Amino acid sequence: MMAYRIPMLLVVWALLLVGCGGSVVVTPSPTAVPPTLAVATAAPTATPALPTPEVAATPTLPPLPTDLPVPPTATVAPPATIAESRTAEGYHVLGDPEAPVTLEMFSDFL
Amino acid sequence: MLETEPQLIEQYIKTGTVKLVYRHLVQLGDRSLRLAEASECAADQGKFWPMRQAIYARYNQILFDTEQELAAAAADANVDLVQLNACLDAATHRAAVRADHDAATADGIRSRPVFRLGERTLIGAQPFNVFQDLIAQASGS
Repeated sequence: MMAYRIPMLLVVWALLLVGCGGSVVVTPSPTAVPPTLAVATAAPTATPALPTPEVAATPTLPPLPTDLPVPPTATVAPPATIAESRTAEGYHVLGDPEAPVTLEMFSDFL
Repeated sequence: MLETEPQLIEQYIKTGTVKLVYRHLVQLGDRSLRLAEASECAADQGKFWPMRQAIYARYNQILFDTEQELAAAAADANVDLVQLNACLDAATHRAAVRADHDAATADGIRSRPVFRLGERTLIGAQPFNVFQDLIAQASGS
């Protein structure tokens, strides 16, 4: 019985040795890595392009007009309904020339 | 006067009780003369009173930057600046402004502003109630 088991153990040992040796040869193989890298680098090219040209296509504002009239302030001009005239000497008169009271103002602009 | 004049206009000039006569008294040198001439040049365009008011509205700056403020006042008063400058360059109204000034000084006016209402003369800016009293006396109201 013992003589029969020894060859069997040798066969099992041999099979284990072969099995372990095969795994050592296969797993560190560098040829298995490139496919995963290739997939990783190929991924960005597969994504759809962002619509960046739309930024450049943003419509520009039309130029502002440069000849806008300057609105006079309320204190600038006397009302248009007030008469303006001159005296016989050429002095400027504001108000009804026939107004009963004359107010003369002597002044300058400084 | 900037505060009093609108009240005078509203209460007495618009209602036909008072007429305001403006006389040039150019006492502060070339700039006074230039602004007075500018007002007369604006008058050639029918804008004496608007120009006068526009210049007054800039009184705190026009002493320091007369030309720029004068151009801005002309714009405010809708005065054509090209015509205004041509009129100023030609000194079209200089003699008339000086004659007005000379007549005022010959009449005893020595400072500004001075107001004359009938026989009464007011020297310096006055509050509105002073004018009210004098106008009431002059108009008999």
